[in-house]
Amino acid sequence: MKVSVIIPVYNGARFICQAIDSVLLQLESDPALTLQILVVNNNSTDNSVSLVTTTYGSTVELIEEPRQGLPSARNAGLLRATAPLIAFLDADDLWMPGKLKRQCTILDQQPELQMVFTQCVEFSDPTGVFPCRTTPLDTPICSSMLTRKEVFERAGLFPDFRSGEFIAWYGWTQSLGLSTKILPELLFKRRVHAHNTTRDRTAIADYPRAMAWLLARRRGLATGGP
Amino acid sequence: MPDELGFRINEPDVIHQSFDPEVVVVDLRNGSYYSLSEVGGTAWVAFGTTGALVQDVVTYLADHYRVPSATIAKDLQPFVAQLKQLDLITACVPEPFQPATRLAPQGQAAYTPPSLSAHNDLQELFLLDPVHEVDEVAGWPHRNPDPELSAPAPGTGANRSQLHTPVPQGRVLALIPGLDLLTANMDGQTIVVNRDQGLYCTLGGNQAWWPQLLHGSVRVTEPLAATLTDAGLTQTVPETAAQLSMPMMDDSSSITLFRDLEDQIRPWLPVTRPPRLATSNRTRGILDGLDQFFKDAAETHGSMHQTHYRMGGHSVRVRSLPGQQSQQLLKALEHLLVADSGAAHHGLTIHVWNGSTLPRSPALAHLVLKLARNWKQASGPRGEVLELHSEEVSAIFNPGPDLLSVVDFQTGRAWVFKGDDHPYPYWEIGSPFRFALHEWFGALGLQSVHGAAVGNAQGGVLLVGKGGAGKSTTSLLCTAAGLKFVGDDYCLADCVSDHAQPWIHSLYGTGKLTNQNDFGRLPELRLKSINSDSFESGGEGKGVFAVSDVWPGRTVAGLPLRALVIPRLHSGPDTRIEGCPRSEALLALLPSTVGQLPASTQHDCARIVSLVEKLPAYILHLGSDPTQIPLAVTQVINR
Repeated sequence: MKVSVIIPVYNGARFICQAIDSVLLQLESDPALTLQILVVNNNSTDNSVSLVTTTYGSTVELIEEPRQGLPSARNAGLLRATAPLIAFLDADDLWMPGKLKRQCTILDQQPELQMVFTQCVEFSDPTGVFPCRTTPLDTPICSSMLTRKEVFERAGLFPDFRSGEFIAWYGWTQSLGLSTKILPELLFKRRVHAHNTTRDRTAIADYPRAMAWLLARRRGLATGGP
Repeated sequence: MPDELGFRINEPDVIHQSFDPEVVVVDLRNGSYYSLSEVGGTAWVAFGTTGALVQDVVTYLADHYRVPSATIAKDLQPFVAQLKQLDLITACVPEPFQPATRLAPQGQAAYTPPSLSAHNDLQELFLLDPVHEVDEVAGWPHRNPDPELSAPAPGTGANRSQLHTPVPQGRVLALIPGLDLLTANMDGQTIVVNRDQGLYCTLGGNQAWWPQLLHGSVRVTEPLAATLTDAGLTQTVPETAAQLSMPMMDDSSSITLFRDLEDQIRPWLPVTRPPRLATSNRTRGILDGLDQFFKDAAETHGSMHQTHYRMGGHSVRVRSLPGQQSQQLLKALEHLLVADSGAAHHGLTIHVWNGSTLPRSPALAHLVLKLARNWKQASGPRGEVLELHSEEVSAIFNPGPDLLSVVDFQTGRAWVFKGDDHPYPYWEIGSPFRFALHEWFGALGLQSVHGAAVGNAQGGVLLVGKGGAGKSTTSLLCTAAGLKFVGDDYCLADCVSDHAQPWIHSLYGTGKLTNQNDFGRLPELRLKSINSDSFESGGEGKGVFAVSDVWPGRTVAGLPLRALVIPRLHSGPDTRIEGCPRSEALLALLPSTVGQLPASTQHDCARIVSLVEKLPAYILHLGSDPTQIPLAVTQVINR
């Protein structure tokens, strides 16, 4: 199985190596796995890029995406992805060992299945500081997703919003009836740290925009339009 | 529905956006989203965030769609009731209605009764959506455009050119008011710890501008201006004549930003720290309540255990309840145990216990409940408990382990209460009572420092640097090789007592290991961890063990301090020592210490500077051959 892993990074020097290590560790549980690791630098002003290039060299492909924002960075990665399966990992999050193997196996066994997620827990960084959900959650999260590349051919790239972009895109895949499964295994950990615990008012304002995008698409679907 | 009732959009929990011709509403509390029909959207926008009377909205809609008011009133009633029931709007006393100011959708459709369609299909995703922080320092994912910083000062440039003054280079910057800064200066280098942004920086070269910036504004050229702004220190201000006389920074002026300790330094909550005022009667009442709470717990428990310790030459006693989880904390102090002399106690008395029963004192019970239910409302930026924050009283609440720590300087009492019976996390087992000891000893002039210390009969070294630098492993390899172990994580430095040189005192006789790989070099530590969340027992924490369990007799209460040593990993097999400027040791020690001790003040900085000034500093390049490391450390001590 060949998987393209898209890791956007914006000032993530503190986490990025842990994230990439957690991807490389997937190879240990599945020797048949081939990885294309795409690190998308999104205007970092810290040493994320030099850290990645000195630590991993040609093991990863580095892409520069000047348009700021998670969706632009993920889309830039998608456009360079060559594998038939696509996964995403945010620079501050971690995969657990065996994640890709389990997901690849399911996609291999069930050809009709398009998207596979895993259970997720949160952990506080620093430990103990931020309240976390430690019971596994079966919610679709971009960083736990493995999809077939066709999904993006049918649903399109991520819309460019500052919040709600994945929610809207996921909602659209469901409206299209793309077959989705959330595995019962806990294979993904989300880091709760000082920077993802404060809601920003201007970014939040994009939630309604993202939902309007989704509603408009659904209306188009209902009327037979694109 | 009475006509005098007004409603407004329930912001900030409910947000919306107008799109021609619809309005989309999102309820952030539950992740439901709604699409309003055109007339519904017009009504929504008419209610607005400042509110409107229902009657005014009826008149407005009737006018807008040229439909009789009676029809509108009949149609609007169930719509408003539905919005109210969904808690999307809330009753209010509205401001005078001014329809012209409300931006209604510009649809052309004919009138249909207002309606909304609700969607709940993506609720879970909303509630779990990683919410992206937005300031420039933060990372993901969006730069926060700050109009104040990019907009030129209004009206000033034109006046100057009329006066034929050459246009000056750079921008005029002033310090952002109310910043939580700690600073230290040594050998021409200034360290500024910006605790609001969670970063620290060093200023080098010509720094004449810095004191001026602290007291007013200063003209700063690029790229320094951009870096200062990036560091969250300054904002652009309009020019005034006064600034023209200010010296500009020269080419030697430099600033370097460090973000590696961001999560330790950054506040937990975006609020400002209140000043310390005189202790109120309410605060005293809560302290009495804590005293009573412990006595009641001891009585219910049937027995109370008192142990005496000698720390930094001072006596500390701890009262605990036998068999409780809290007694686990005493293990780290065991090497400092002394017999009860029977003399009157003049030091600190720490009361430590745990349990889920509520205290009898209503004021304390109220506080405990408030912390359990919504600690953010009762806390300062780093968890300071606002009701216990005065000149003589200091307290912190740590919501993860549900741990309240309180110190009363006036009476020498401290209370450490965990509101449940779960085991303590590894960092509390390894370094218990950190907050109380930092506060108490700080008042005595003794400084808690983030580092590990080892030594021999000649004296000791303090290993300094941020987490992961190799302090713990170096200290353990040295101890395994026969050196004395003073402490790890935090030690107590003394520059004020009658010693010819600084001393380093032990606080905790515990060591920590991070993962299985460490056992390769330290096999004697296998299965020795004393914490239940150790990686060895399948947990997620570090492994904590008592040094004297593994190497009896190797702990020591304190040593004269000979040097500061910065461990640094390198790739070769050999370990070597290299002298370095003291300012480098200060940079390795100060930000990580004041960043992690929530009650740090400028006094901590002054004590750390005075410690570093008295000692030589070295970099210890750690090679892969573990036998060379203790030899190199011994070499430093004997120099």
